[in-house]
Amino acid sequence: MKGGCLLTGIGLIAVVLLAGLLLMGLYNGIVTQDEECNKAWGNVESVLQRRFDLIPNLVNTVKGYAEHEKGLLEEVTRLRSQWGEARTVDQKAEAASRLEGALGRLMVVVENYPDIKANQNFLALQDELAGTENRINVERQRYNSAVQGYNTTIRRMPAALVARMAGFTTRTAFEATSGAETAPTVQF
Amino acid sequence: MIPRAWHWLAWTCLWATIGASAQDGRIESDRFRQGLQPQGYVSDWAGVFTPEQKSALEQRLAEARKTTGAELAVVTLPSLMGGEINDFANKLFQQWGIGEKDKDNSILLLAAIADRRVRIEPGYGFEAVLTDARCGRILDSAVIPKFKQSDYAGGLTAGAELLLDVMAGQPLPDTIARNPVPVATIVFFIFFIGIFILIVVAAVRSHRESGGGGHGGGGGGGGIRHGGFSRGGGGFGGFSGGRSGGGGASRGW
Repeated sequence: MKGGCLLTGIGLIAVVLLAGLLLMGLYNGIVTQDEECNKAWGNVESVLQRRFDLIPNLVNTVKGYAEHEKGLLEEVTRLRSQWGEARTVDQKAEAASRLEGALGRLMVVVENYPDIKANQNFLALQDELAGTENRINVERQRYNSAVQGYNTTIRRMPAALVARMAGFTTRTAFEATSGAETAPTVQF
Repeated sequence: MIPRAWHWLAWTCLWATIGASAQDGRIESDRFRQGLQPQGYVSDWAGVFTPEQKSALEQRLAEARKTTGAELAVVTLPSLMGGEINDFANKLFQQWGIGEKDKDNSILLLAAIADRRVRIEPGYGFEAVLTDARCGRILDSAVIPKFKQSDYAGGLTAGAELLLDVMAGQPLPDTIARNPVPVATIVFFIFFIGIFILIVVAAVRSHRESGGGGHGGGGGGGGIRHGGFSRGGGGFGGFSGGRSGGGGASRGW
C-alpha cells in the first residue's frame, strides 16, 4: 500500500515534469524561429541601409547631367530621409518600397542621357545599385521564408497554445511593392 | 447580369492562365537547377571548353583552392530554362554551398549562352574586396569582348584569371567562433537526467518488491553512422557550404 502511494506520487511528478519539458520544448522552438526572423530582418535592414548610403552619391552624379529631372531627384532625396526616420519594421518596409519605386523611375529617366552613361563613376554606381537591389531581393526572400516558417509554427497545434499563452503573434512578410517585379530594374 | 458574370469569369480564367504560365517558367527553371550537380570547379554544360581547356582551368582553380582556401566555380549553361540570371546564380550558389562554411570565401562565374547573360556573384566573404562595380569592370574588360566574338572559353578563362588575382590578394577572414554551450543548460540537463534515473530506479525497485518477473536487458545501441563523402586525391572534393547574398554584377552581350 505504502509502495503504491509512493509510486503514484512519483508518477504524478514525472507526468508534470514531462509536460513541463514538452511545453519548454515547444516554447523554445518558437523562440528560435522568432530569433531567426529577427536575424533575417537584420540582414534586410543592412542591405536597405546600403541603398540608403548610395543615394547621395547617385543623386550628385545625376544632378550634373540632368537638370530637367530636378523634381525626381528631390523626391528620391525626400524618400531617403523618410526611410531614415522610419522606426518600426512596417514603417521601414513601407518607406523602402516607395524609395524603390522612385529609384526605378530615376534609372529609366537616366537612359535618356547618353552623357551620364559614359561617366565611369556613374557606371560603377549603376553596378553598385543593381547589386544592392538584387541583395535586397535575396534578403527579402530569406526573411519572408523565415516569417512563413514562424507563422506556420505558431498557428499549428500544439505550439499554438504555447504561443497564445506567451503572447507570440504572427509577423508580416515584407512584400515587394505591387508591380515591383515588373518595375524597371537596373539592367544592361 | 448574366453577361457581366461571364465577363468576370472570362477575365478570371485569362489571368489565372497567364499567372500559371509565368509560374511555370519559374518552376521549370527551379527544377532544372535542382538537378544540377557540380562536375568540378568547372561545370561546362554548354560545352564551350575543349577537354584541354577545361582540365587546365580546373587545375588552376583546384590549385587556388589549395593555396588560398577560396573557391571559384565556373559554370556554363545552354539556357536558364526561363529563369532570371540573378536569382538563378544566387540559388545555385546556395544549393552547392560554394566556399567554406562561415567564411563564404568564394565566387560563382555563371554564363547562360543562349540567353546571352553572364554573372559574377561573390560569396559574403568576398563582398568587401570584390565590389559590384569591380565585378562589372571584370565582365566589361575581360569577358564581354571575347563573348562578343563567340569566344566563350576565352572570355571565361580571362575572367577567371582576374578573379583568381582578387582571391589571391586577400588574406582569409577568421572563422567565426562557435558559441559554447552555456553551463546553465548543462547543469539543468544533468539535473533532469538525475531525476529520471531516480524515478526509474524507484519504479524498478517497487516492481521487484511486488515480485514481478525480470525483463531481459536489451540494449546494444547501433552507433551513429557518419555519412559524408570524400573523393580521393587532390582534385575536386565537393564544395564546402559557403553562402552568397546576391551581390555582384550581370551583363548581356
